[in-house]
Amino acid sequence: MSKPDNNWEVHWQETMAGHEAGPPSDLDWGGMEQLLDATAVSIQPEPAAGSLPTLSSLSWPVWAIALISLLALVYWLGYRTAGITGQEKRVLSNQQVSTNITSTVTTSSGLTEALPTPKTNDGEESPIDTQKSNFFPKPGPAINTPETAGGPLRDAPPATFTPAKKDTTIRFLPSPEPSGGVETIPKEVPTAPAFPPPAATKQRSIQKYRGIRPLKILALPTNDEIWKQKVDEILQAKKIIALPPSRINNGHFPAYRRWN
Amino acid sequence: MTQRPNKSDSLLTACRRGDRRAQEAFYREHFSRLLPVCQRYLRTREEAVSVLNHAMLRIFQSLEDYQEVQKLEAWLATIVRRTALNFVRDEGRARRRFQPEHYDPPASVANAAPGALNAADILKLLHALPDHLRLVFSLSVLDGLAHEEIATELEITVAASRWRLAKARELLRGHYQYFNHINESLL
Repeated sequence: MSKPDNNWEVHWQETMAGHEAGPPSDLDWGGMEQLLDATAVSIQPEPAAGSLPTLSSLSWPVWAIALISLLALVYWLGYRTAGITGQEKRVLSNQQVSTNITSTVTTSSGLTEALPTPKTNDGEESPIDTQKSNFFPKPGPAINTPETAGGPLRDAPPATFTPAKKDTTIRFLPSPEPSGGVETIPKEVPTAPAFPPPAATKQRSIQKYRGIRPLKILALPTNDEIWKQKVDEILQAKKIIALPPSRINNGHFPAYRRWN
Repeated sequence: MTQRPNKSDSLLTACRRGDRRAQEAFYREHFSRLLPVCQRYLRTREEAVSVLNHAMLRIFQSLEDYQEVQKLEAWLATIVRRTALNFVRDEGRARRRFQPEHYDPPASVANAAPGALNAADILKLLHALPDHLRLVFSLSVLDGLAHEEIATELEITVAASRWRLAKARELLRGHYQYFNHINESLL
């Protein structure tokens, strides 16, 4: 501890040690109160160690992250649900088309043929043909047998797809404008392709364009090629023949060829 | 023998709970003794009050750490002094190279006797010193810190602390010698 080496320094030290300022004004305490209000969190009693933080004590970044996570979860769930619904609608629409086609066939002569609707084992008509549909495959290994198979499994390749055998019992309905004559009804009734249709569509498109060579995609000329073409055009226009450099260029003039 | 809790202890307990009225009472009780500590290092009263408020905030926040064995006045003065030094250090970094080396004491103190100055005149003479000299002089002479402690507080070397103290004494002593010479010549 340094000691003052002058008497006036001792006097200064004693004077300043006993010095007191005036009482604080309301303005001074107002500033202090504002500071306390601004940092009210630090004045509040801190939670006990080991206790979980309450919801009110969480800061705004935590709330923001939680809200973003919740929105992302809701969006993902909605997208997932919508995808399942769309797929189901697509399959059901295919089945509806298949049912309509197999139920009624209009022939070229105007006769409408009503095909029997599939029935269940109890003899009742089923709203959805579960034997023809791939969306409700029967459990068990016998599903792929030709007797019971109503179609391939979802994972089966398209090449192994075989249409189901159908009951081709035909019942004739009177046409509103019968043209007369006997129509030849084909035994094979067209049915809508079962799931999945895109593979068959792709196969047909490949067969349609078989033997046609696709065009090559030509690369654009580079700058060097463009400049070369321009130089050639100029040389041809001025009838200048660019000669290749002389083979004999050994630094002598006139150049000579050494034969040995 | 059990000690009965006095008024200061109950005030401290209420301040720890965050009672605003207790904090105001504590502030008004210690304001008059803590403000001169700030005024040794800061030129204006507004700056000193602002720094004192920040120091009081630190005091309220760290009242849990206060141990009863310590002397409350010394503990408060230490916090206030360190807060003021932090403020001065942060401000002085920007204008350290532009501080004048000359000493121009206020005219109102010029004719006062050396050993008969009151606290207000002493503060005026201190504020006439350059900042880097005034800090070392106040810490050494008025607060009684050693040069090692001053060097630690101000983040300077011990040699720099010694040089600054010597320079401040030289300026103040020259001021008194000048006026003493004038007074003797007048007589």
